[in-house]
Amino acid sequence: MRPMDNENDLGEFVRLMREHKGIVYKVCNSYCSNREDREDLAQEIIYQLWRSGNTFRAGQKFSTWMYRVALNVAISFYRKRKSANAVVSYKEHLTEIEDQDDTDYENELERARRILQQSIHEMKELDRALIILFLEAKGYREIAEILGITETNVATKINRIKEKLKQKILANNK
Amino acid sequence: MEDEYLKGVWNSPDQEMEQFIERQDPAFEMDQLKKAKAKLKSLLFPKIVGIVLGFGWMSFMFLLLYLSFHHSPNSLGKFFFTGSIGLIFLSTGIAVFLYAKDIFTIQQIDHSGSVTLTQRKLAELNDSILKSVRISWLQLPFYTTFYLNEGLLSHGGPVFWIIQILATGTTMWLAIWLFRNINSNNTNNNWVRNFMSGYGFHSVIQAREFLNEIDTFSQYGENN
Repeated sequence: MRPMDNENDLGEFVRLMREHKGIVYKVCNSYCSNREDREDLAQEIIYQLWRSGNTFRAGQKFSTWMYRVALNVAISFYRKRKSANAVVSYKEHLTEIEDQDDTDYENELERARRILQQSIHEMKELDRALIILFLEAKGYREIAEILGITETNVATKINRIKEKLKQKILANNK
Repeated sequence: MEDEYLKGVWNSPDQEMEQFIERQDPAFEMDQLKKAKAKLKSLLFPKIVGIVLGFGWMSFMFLLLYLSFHHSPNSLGKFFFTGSIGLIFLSTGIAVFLYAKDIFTIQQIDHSGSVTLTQRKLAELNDSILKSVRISWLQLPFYTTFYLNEGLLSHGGPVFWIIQILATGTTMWLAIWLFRNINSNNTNNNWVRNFMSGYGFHSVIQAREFLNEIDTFSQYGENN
C-alpha cells in the first residue's frame, strides 16, 4: 500500500488514520510532556506513516505496522528533543487534581492515570515502548515482533516494570 | 496489582485524547502531512548548506589545481603546491561524500522495521558521522606545505627551517592524534570531548550510550 498514490489510496489512508488516531495520541502522550511537542510529534508520525506506506504488506496487521512506525518516530523525536529541552514533569497536573479536593471515583481514576503517565515518562525510551504495548493489550508475541526482542525477554521485562509501577502507584496513593 | 487495573487506568477517559480524536475536519490529516513535510525540509536545510559549502571549497581547490597544472612551469614549487592542494581536495571530497551519504541514509531509513533494529541503525549512523570529521582533519599538515618552493628550501635561513619544521611537525602530530582519537570509544576523554564539542560530538555520545542501552534491552531477559 502506498497511501497517496491516488485519490482512493489517500481516502483509505485518511480513514485508517482516523480509525487508529488513538494509537498516535497515546504514543505522543507517552513521549512528550507538553502539548506543542505532542502536536509536532503527531505530525511527524502521520508523515512517516504516509512515507512508509509501501512497506505495509498485505496480510500484516495494520496496528502492528503502525506501532512500529509510530514508536520508531517517537523514540527518535524524543532523543532529538531530550538534549534541547528539560522533560516537563507531570507533577503540575497532579497538584491541580489534588487542589480540587475531590475524592470521587472519576478524579481517583484521573489521578491514577496521571501517576501512570508520570511513571511512564520517567522510564527509558525502550521500556516506554514496551509498557505502552502491554497496556494496549498486545500479546507477548506481537510485542516481541514490534520491538525485535524475544518473547522471554518481553515477559521478564514486563514483570519487572509492572512491579515498579505498582510500587509507584501505591506510594502515591498513601 | 492486577494487569486489568493498570489497563483500565491506561484506558480511562482522557479529555485531551478525546479532543484529539474528535477533530474530524477532512483536511486535518492533509494539513498534518503538509506541515510535517515543511518542517522536515527546514531541518534538512543547514545540512544541505554544509554539503554545498563543502562542494564550494572543493571547486575552489579544483580551480587552483587546474590553473597550476596548465599555467605554471614544472618546478619543486609546483610539486609542493599541487601535491598539497590535491591531498586537501581528496580529504575534503571523502569527508563531504561520507557526510552526504550518512545524511541521505538517515533520511531514507525504513521506520517500519522492528524498534530495536531501526533505532540501532539510526544510532550507528549518528556514530558514523564522526568518520567525515576524522578524515577532514587529515588535511591539516598540507596547509603548511603548499607554499614551499625551491627558493625557500635552498635559501631559507635557520629561522625558516625551525618555524617550518615546528609547524609541519605539530600539525602532522595533531592530525594523526585527532584521526586516531576522534572516535566514539573515546567519549570519556576530556581532551577529545572539549575539542569536538562544536562538531555535534554530544549527539554522538548520546548515540553511543543509546547503542549500549539497546544492547542491554535486547539481552536483559535472556540473562536474568
